[in-house]
Amino acid sequence: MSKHITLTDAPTGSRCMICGIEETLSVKQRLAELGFTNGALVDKLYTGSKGSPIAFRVSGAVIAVRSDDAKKIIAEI
Amino acid sequence: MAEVSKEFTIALAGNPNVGKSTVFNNFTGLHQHTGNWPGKTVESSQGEYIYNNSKYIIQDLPGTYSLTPNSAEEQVTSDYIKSGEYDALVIVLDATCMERNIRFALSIISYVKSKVILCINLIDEAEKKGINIDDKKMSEMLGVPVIKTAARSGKGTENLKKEIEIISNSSQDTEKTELSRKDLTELSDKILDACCTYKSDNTDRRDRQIDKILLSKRFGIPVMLMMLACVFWITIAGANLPSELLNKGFRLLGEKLRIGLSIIHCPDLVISAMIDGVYTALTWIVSVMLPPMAIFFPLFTLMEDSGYLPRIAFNLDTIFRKANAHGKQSLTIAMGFGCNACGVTGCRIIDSPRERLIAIITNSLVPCNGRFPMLIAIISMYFVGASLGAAETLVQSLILLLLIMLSVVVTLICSKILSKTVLKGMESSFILELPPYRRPQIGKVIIRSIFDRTIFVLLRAISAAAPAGLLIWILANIKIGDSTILLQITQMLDPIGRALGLDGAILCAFILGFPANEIVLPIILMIYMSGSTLTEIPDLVQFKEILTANGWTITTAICMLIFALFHFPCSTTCITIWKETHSKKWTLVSILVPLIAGVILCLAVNTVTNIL
Repeated sequence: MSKHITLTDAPTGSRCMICGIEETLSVKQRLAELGFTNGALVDKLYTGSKGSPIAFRVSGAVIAVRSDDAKKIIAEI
Repeated sequence: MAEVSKEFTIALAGNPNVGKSTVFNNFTGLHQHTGNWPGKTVESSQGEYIYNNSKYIIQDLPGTYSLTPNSAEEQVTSDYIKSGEYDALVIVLDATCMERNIRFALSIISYVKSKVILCINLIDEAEKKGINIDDKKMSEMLGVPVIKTAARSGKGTENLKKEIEIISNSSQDTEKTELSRKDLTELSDKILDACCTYKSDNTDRRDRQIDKILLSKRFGIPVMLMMLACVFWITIAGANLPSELLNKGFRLLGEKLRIGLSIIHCPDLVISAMIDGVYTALTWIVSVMLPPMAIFFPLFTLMEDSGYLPRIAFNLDTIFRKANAHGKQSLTIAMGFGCNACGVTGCRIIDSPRERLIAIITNSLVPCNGRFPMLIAIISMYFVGASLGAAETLVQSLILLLLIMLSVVVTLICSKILSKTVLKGMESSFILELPPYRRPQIGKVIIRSIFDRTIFVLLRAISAAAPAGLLIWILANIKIGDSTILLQITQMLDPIGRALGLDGAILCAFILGFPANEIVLPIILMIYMSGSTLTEIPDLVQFKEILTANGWTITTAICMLIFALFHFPCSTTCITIWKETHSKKWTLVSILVPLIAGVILCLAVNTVTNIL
């Protein structure tokens, strides 16, 4: 049974499938346009110092978001 | 010239970073101009080209990720696309990033299918990464023409022009089919599966290897600082000779003009006003400003085109966040190094109005190309030994880098203060795309950049420097009582100047240098020599002697450096700030913030050194 984990806590270098996005995420729509939707596969690529920002490979591109926002996206590894 | 029979309008849309501007530039060459969309501070580029006796006007739309109007750019793009006021709509896609690009294209096709042409760009990059795209199949499945291009080298552009001609001339119906997000995703997945093949799972291996270093916690920031130091060093070292040559050339030309004017019996006073006043100021600014700009801007554009800049924003976001500022402000600051006015315009990349204002207001806290020579001269005279030879410019650049780091720190402090006082508000989100690394078209970038910069500097010289030169000439040549107005103003300002560790001449020079910082040092020299014209800086040894003779100490030099970094923005920047903010209040704040910062720091340094 695969674990459910926030994108912030996922280990760098892992591949996850998004299974939930919190409604309170203010940039939910913008992120969805960029490919962060339920069922999407994302790879966690790089983390900045102090854990933020975090760069993901999604929909064929590399997008960086802050860890506060990534914390509101749940995925399974 | 051949008669043009028909005129068509073509719209150009696409995600950011797909090479849309390369397509635009390829088609229009120099037949383009940039402005703003009416009523908005969103850039609008328009250009034109001729093909088979017809004129095609291209409207370049801002790069956007979707048509949902979340920002001014998206609003403009969405409105324009839905208006249908064009004969063909070319959607530029990035062949190396098809998943998201296809979804975007599909969302547009659902509105205006019969006018759409898909242009799959960066085909050369895709081939290198083992990505293969079946354009014929895609065209079948979508029902719109699909053209593959590598706009950088012009591959496929003829086909695109031909297709544009066909679509523009065909009759068009406006069938609309709205697709839900789920439909879009399903349809785009189907198309991707059928038409795109990937040789391996890791098509972006090289980019990831580079990013591993550039984004690493250990090497990221040091590499960035090194690159910056290199850029500054090349700018400074490279500008020396051209500046000298321009200077000598202008001087010779000036003498010829002087002789010419006297031959046509122009009154001496007018000759002096024209040559000693207007001409000298104008040519001084061109010879000081043009060479560094012609070097810095191409370098910066190369960094931008290569895809490196967003990595800087990534590395610095945490620091900027601590200052309650947006990570992209690091990029607007970098733009400000070239020209503060350009940095202010560049603040459009920050979506949130509050954070954009903070970036605009603090932009002048970093020195621009125009101030570098002033800073370098002081650094050379007071802080760098004369006998370093070839290493001299290197040491100068490093000290300049230190000064710039100081100004970045001050920028962060001011940003934080602003965000806690007059610009309180919600922190906005930070979403940044890290595009693939691409080899920039070095030749084209350099030529275009030098061309743009030359025009910019010349326009500025004429509009700002020429009147300034005239004013200074008047002040320096008209006597009230027993001394010129200029010297009297200097005397009046002296007490304030002394309190700041400077003197009246320096303050007067900065005030008169409002149109252009490049003339501050010449004005100081002119005042000290009680002269009536701007003279060029003698060699630095002599200059230092003149400064020392007028009371300069090491404290003066330090305060001069501080004030040069933090005073008020130049007139061009002030006008740009006003145009971007449409607010007298914020323009005033932008003038006061650096000034107050400079005054406080100068007072502090002066008081401390007086105590010691």
